[in-house]
Amino acid sequence: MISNYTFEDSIAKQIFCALRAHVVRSRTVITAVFLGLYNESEFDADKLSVAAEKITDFLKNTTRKTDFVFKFSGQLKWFIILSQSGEREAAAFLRRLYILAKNTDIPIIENHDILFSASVAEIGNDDGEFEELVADGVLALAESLSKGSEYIEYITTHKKRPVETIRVSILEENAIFRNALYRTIDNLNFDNFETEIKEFQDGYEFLESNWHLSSHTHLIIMNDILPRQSGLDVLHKIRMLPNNKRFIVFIMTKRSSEEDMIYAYESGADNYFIKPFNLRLLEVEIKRTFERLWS
Amino acid sequence: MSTILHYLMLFFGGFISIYMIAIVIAYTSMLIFAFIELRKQYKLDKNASDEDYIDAFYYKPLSVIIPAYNEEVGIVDSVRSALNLKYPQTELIVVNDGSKDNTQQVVIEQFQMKKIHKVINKQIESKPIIQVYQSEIHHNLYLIEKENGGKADALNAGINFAKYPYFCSIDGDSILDEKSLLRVMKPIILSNEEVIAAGGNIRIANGLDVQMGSVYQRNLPNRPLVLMQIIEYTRAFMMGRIALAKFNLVLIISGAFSVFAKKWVVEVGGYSVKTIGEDMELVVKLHRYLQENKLKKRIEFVPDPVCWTEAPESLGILRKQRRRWHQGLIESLVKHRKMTFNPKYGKIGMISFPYFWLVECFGPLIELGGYIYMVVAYFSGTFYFEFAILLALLFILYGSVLSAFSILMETWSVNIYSGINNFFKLIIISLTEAFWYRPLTLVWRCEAFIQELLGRKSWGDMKRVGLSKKPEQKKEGDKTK
Amino acid sequence: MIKVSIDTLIKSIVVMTFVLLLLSVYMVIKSIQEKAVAKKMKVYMQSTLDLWYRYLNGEIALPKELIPSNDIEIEAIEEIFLSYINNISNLCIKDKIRVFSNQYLREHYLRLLTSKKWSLRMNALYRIIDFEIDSLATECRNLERKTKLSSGEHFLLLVIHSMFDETGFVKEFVSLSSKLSEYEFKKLLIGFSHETLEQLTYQMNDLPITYQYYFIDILGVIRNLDFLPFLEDKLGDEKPEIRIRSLKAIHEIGVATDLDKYKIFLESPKWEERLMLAKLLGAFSLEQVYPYLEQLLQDENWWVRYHAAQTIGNSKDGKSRLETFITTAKDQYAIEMAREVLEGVC
Repeated sequence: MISNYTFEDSIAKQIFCALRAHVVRSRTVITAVFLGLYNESEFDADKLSVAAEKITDFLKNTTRKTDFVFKFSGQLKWFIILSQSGEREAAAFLRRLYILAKNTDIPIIENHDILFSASVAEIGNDDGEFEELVADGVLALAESLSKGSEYIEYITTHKKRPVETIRVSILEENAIFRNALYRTIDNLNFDNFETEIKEFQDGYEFLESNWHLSSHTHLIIMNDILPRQSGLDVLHKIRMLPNNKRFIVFIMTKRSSEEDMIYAYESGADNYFIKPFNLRLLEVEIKRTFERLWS
Repeated sequence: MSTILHYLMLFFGGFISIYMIAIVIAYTSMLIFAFIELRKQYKLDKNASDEDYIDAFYYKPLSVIIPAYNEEVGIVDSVRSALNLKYPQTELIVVNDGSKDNTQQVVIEQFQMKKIHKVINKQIESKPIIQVYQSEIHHNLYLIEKENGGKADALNAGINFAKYPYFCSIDGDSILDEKSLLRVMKPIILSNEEVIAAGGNIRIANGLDVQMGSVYQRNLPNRPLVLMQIIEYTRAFMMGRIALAKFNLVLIISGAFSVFAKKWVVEVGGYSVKTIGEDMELVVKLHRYLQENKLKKRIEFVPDPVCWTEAPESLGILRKQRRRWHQGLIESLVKHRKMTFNPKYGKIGMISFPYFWLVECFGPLIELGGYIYMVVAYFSGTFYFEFAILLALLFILYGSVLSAFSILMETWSVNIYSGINNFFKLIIISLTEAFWYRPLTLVWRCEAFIQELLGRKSWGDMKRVGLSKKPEQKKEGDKTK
Repeated sequence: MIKVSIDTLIKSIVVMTFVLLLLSVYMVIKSIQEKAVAKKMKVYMQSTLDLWYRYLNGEIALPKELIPSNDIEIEAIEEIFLSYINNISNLCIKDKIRVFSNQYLREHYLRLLTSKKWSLRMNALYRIIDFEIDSLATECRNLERKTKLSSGEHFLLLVIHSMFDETGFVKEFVSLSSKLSEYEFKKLLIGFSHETLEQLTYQMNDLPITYQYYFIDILGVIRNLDFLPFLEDKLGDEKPEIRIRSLKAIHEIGVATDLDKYKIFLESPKWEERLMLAKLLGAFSLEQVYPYLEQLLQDENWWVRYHAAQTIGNSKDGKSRLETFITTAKDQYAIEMAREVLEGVC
């Protein structure tokens, strides 16, 4: 049931689509907020349009420069895009908004309480129609308004993030330990990621394979000392590549000297494990690192 | 006249025979001794204790010094092998001794060396240092550019620069096994630092599959001359090093791979710049210093750790090398001659020195005399004929049979070259030793006496071919297509 | 005479050649056997490695296939266990290895332990330590009482004793007659619990003097603040080596509280003490200790000057201090050092 709501500012759809297209590539969610006036009936009909304008101004002043506020044509409803925010940030924003709106020191409209309710949709992917979202949003907003004032209804259908493939390379000389690492990582379950794991005996084999030249996010787990080309050689080589931020480098070492550790971090290692280490620790570090990829 | 000649012939024949018999007995007993030692360690898992030693807490940090003069072919492999050493804390110092080739550029490019400023505590005199570089990839890799002053001078500059209490010197054309340093340091650590220097076993790298400083496949080279040198090294190890090390009589720990406590080396003034065999000279100096100051310290040879080095592939270069080695030996022995039979210097003075004088230094003269005598005797009548036969048999026993047994023992204990073909290849070649290789080396070593008397010094530059297989050029090829 | 020796020589050469031939045949057989063993090992590894992973990580109960039925399998299992132990620290994995070894490898190591060959006994001792086979503790204790032991075996047996019976070991340890090297001493003590080490601080004076040195070193490595008062107390010891090592250990811990306790070393006749002081002063704020460092920067010893300059250079505002020092000081050596460290810091 695609409805035909329109906005006073016709550019709304365009802006939203542009922001949404950016979501997956930058791994940053955006959130659509649908805001309605709960106590609409308290306002005189002739004052409504003035009130609407004042509220729109208020909303524009309260949001960040990177956020966008659009008013629905002919309705006291607003559509707000919060870029770089998830539903949790959106909820915090709304709570702040509800309080500000009630602030009697600087009233938005004299002698009137402003009471809102809202629905919130976090956007985690870029496939989906704008109209569909708006329809969902309006429906949920109605639900929210029917429950009371200062209420927030969450829409989860647009949240789903696309599954991303992350490459994992294991560079370790000892075949038995390499197998254990492989099994450990292969056993990990992620909601939004799947892993493609490859094993290498040394840095030379890895660099020659060209496996690292794809644009995938790439986790490299390697020993610092390896035959032919060592882990530090590999680290240096990949950090010289354009777009090297896609590499996440975990270094494993037998040397426990602090100097070596500091140097490895300075050279661009993201994590450092002193052998022998706990495989569970490696697991959680990988999980945490992957989770932090989305902000 | 003829009777005098007759007695002379008889005397020399007798003398040489007795010498040879004594030598054969000595070497056979050393071989048996080595067998007993190796049997004791047979099947011992040497890796078992390595893991403990890797912990920096127990280990002493160490500086690896690689002196390089015109080593553009081999230097990168050497540095890579040193970077891959399993050792808790090292720094690597490449000393470019005013090379005329691209040694410096090759290292700078391969390892992204950047100029740095570093404070140097000059403890030993050496030629001025021009510039110091540090790698951007490996923070513990340094390159010192200095004015040419010879290998000893380069090593001294490296010692001045080194910040750790121990240093290890390896040649710019050698590569180390990843655990060699760990194991060569073991006697030092276990002895409470009573051992102040330790040398490792040297093997020949020709024929190995070396890729970027790592040994991948141990194959034998094809040239008989190189095979013969492999046998010679094995022989020296089985009949000599093991026994001498056990009784602490080591006078030579090879300069191609040895570890020293810096403090004592500085104490004796570092490497001697003016001698040919700077490595032996240093060891003798240390021995002398220890004995003269009544210090309870030792120098050891560790049979196990391996350093692979490139052997000459042509007669001409091999000749130069051997001449140089022998000249170095003569020089050191002459310089410290007062230690000979001097009870003040303990076992070194009473056993090592006489042994080195008689067997290592003058031995070649006597042996070569034996060969000549054999030929002369063969042609001068039936009476000496038997002497000729006796000597010939002794030479075969000494040269060929003992060498074959050394190979046998090595294959049994460590089996460096796997595959039964390699074993037979070595055994068969070793049996020919007495007939061509032995006489050849004897001649070269005797030439050293002449050179020494003439006061000539040759540095025996060696043409390197490099150990590493060059990476295939196919990628570039594909691109240009 | 010559005839006789030629005869014996020919005979011995013939005999030796014959022996050589025989041994060559033996080598051929040995090489074929070794190849076969290597192949079997490889097959075993390939077929069981995943199972071992799942078993050791507690995903499955011990499958029957993993119970070793011959020496080749035991050798392969050793390799797998060692790779796990050397690289992975999960307690549950270590536990699994311990339980498994106690049950299925005990007999094998007991056999090696009683072997006549030194090398095999050594291997067994190493494995008992690695796999924590405590069911062999009594056998090891019995072996320890045997008189003919190599020093290698003796030390490993001490390690085993200390592993399985720490309190009992410490009691004997203080009166231990055998001479341990620094490495051996540290290896034994580093695994001790905090309580045991604390107990040893009270008994330290009963230890031979060299052991006292090593003990202080260990306290530095452990970096536990609890031992700081003990170490600071040792700064007043009459033996210079004890003082130097205590300074080093405190520097290692990286925390120092009472500056007055350290000031005395400024005038120490031992350059090693002044050197350690130069390093240790880095634990205080530069404001507080700069005058002392400046004095050390003009020390007669190169190393003292070097580390004083380093300590200043590494501190906050140290660079500017060195710069002013260069312009105002008179000691040429000190100025040079300051300048070189300054350029190095940049």
